[in-house]
Amino acid sequence: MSQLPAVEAAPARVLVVEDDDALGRALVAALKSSGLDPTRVGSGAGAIQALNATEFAVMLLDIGLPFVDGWRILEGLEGRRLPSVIIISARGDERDKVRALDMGADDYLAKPFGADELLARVRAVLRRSRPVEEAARVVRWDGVTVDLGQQSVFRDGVEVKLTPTEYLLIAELARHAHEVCGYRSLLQRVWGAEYADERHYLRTFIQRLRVKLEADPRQPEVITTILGRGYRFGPALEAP
Amino acid sequence: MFRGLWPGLAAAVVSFLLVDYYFVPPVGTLTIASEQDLVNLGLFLGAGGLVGILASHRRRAQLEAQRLASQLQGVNADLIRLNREQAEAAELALRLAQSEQQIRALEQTERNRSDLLANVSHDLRTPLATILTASTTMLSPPQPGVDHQDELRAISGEARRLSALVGDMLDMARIEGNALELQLEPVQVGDAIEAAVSRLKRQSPQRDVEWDAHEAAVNVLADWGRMGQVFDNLLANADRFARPGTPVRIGVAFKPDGLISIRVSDLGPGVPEELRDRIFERFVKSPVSSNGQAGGGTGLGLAIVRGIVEAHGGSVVLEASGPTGTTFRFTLPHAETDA
Repeated sequence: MSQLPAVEAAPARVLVVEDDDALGRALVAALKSSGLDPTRVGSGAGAIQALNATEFAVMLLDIGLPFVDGWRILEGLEGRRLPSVIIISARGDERDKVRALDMGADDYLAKPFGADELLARVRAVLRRSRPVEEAARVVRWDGVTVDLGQQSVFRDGVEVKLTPTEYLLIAELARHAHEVCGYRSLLQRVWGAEYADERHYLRTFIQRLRVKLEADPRQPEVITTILGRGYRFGPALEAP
Repeated sequence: MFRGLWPGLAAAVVSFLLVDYYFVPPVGTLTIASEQDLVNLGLFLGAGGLVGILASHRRRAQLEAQRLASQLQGVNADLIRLNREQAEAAELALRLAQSEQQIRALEQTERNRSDLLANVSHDLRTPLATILTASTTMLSPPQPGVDHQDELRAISGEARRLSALVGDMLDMARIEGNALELQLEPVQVGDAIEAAVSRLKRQSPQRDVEWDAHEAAVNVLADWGRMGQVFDNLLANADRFARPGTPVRIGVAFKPDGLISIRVSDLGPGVPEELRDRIFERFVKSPVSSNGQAGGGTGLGLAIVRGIVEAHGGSVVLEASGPTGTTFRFTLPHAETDA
């Protein structure tokens, strides 16, 4: 299980991309009061500039932005490990949520939300994005290698770029290779206790991993679905 | 049963024998004594036959007429039936068309309702998020030197925004339900402008509004409150989009058709081309205002302006819009106060 490092070198940088002035200011105030280092921009163009100039740990991204909307920014981040993206959207539509997660967002928060809920999500993505020391161990199956010590994943010898949450999920599965990992247990261990019932997060991230790791994502060999129970890295161990 | 030639011939023979037996001397026998008696008997029977033929012709014509009449009656009944069927078919087609029209109208209403719901829900969520974020930040453990004035201002500002949205939605509902009640009276345009400009100054003290009091000394037949709302919405839009330091202009003119035309112009970036045709529709907003922030407003202002102006018998148009600015023009009926 990952844990927060005891001492922080500097407060985590958070980019707030919100065109609504009042909400933007309220978000900045809430993040500051929680010891984070927020920067706010009011447009998609501003977000692109800020992302090119500075490295942020987390980005709070509003979808409904003028001209360059949140979807475009999310597209532009493809392949980048950081920042972890939390979408803040005025549309509570389930399809938008799935689309955002599919496109690489780490979390999705529908407006309206309170500072407590927002900060809990920010802390959760920060926790997931911080590397935690782990004993050297390498798990392999069907061309996929998970190096838990180095915290890297390879497909046919080539390193695969994973977001922090994607890595935590494949690492959790690899640690228990050939065993079934239950839905709730995966969600609690990777995302946190409050996510135990967010099963579509798990479904979306498993799909994202399959696209990156499987030879044929529709016929998965590395991460198999055990219907009604969970997922498994590799096949079940045969009984002796 | 008694039809054809043979019954006729048989009747003629029986008649001949009966007349010969009872009337031709020697009576009581079937003997004909003289040629004259034979001729007389022949004439009698011939006349009888002629009468019979005539009667038979008449009867035949009568039967033919009856047959034709009955045929005509049948045709007539068919025609009546056909006519009724056609009328029923036409009525059915009409009902079908009406139903289709009703279905289309219902579908459109449903689409409008669902769009409205989506827009309203979208526009309520952002201010609510601000209020929740600011208030929950204030509820977190107090930190030295933090007085939360910004959060309080945000909460107050967003509550006003929600209140404006609710007010605009109620007005929109009245307009769409044709339930806008107007207290029409002669209103001097200059008075309405002066009041609206002073309201704008409270919100935006830096903004100059240029207008000519002499030009505006004309009366229109209008509801004072609703006319003020038209000016408030147009001036708020102009102020929101005009570049800092540039004035908003109001012009008043007589039109040849007896209407008073009023223009409100700003020197802003103009309405984006793709929105110009839809700018009076509800929830259509220009994305960016002059300060580079979100356009703001409820997205109902111009729809309300149009509703109010049209309820007065006037019209409103986006007269010009480009990089050098935007002009909205609306008309109101002239009030002949001298009469």
